[in-house]
Amino acid sequence: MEYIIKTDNFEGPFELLLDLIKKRQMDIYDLHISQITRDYMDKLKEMNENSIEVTSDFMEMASVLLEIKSKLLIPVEPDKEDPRNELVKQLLDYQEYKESLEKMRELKKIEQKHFKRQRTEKLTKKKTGTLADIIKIYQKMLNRKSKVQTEDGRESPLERLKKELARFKYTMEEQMEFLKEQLEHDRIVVEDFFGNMRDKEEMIVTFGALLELIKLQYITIVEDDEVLMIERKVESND
Amino acid sequence: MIENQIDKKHVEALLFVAKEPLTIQDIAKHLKEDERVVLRWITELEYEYKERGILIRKVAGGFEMVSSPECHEAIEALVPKEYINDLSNAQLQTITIVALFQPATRATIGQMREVKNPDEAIQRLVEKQLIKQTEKGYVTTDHFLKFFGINDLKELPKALEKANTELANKTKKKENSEEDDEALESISDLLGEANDNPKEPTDEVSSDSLHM
Repeated sequence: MEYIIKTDNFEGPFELLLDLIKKRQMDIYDLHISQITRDYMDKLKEMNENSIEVTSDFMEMASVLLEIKSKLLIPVEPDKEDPRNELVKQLLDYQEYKESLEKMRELKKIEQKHFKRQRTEKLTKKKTGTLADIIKIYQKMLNRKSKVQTEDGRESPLERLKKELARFKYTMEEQMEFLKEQLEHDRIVVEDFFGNMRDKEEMIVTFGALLELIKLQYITIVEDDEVLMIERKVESND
Repeated sequence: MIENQIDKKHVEALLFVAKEPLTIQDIAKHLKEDERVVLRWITELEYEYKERGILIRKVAGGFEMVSSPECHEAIEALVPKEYINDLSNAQLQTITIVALFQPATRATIGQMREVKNPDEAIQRLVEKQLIKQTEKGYVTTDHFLKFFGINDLKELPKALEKANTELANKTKKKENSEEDDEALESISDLLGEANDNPKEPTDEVSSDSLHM
């Protein structure tokens, strides 16, 4: 039995990092990267031990911290930017966002106490669509498309679709019947059976039918003298 | 077209009927009156409405009449259904990010919210016309200003500060009531001590007497 201990739950790496910085009473503008990286890694380890999922975001932040740490080891060139700057900016932005969130909520609450002559909330009044609406549109389009075809005499998209559909000459049901019919007389040799077929589509649909019949336990596949055969499992009714 | 003498009344009437905030320019055009005169009338009206159930304020660059926030409870009882349009947490997070860092890209929104897929909330806000997409990212709309009762985007920090004060007042009230509780507790403690007190001197006396 595995016990899940919930410690502090952090939504993401920024929240965790800010919390660690706060605990160390560190100045965001002057981050002690090695210290904070150590804290961060310890926390990830702790989360791991407590079976809290450490998502890729957390790992990404770890690599960012390590990268900054390694960059800081190299002697600072005076004209080069502080490697911490990018992270500091992100942290400050994140902090500003977090602090503004509750203020925005309050601002909305204050505003909702001001009533206007007409609150035009068209979106909320819009009723949700139903299947019937889709069918209605579908029928409307069908109607319109067939009209287009008669007016200019050319092939309409709908007509093309019809032809496309007609191209599928075989259906599973038909092929199942066909198989059953064949089996009335004798066993079927799989290789010959598929070998006699004219096109890929017929083969695919028939193969589907074959699988379906096996599932229904109507037929079974037997191996006889290294030749695969389809055999009828159920006794004939007639 | 307008037969009567144009005066302040007309501005008041326009503001009363309008469904959207009216700018000085709008009003001046409607009334065929000088903008400076209109501005003066509005300023006077604003002042006159200060203590009324209706107030005149500036929102999204225009003027409008709204009910006084003090009266909100009474109005909510009358029109509760108009309150349905609210924002989910995800939507509030998203709009906060867009408002603060606009133009904000999808990536920025996702990173700040610390979620993989921020699209759902973004889409809802676009549908509500609170934000819109531009080449550089998402920005807030005029409707956003009206929704949050802000006159100009530049005034957002000021508005947030106001909201913060409101929040601080709320927590203060809470703390005060907690302090009251504490005060009550300490009073009862004192009362308890008063009961205990008679014992202490006797103990001291006894210990003293032992030392002696």
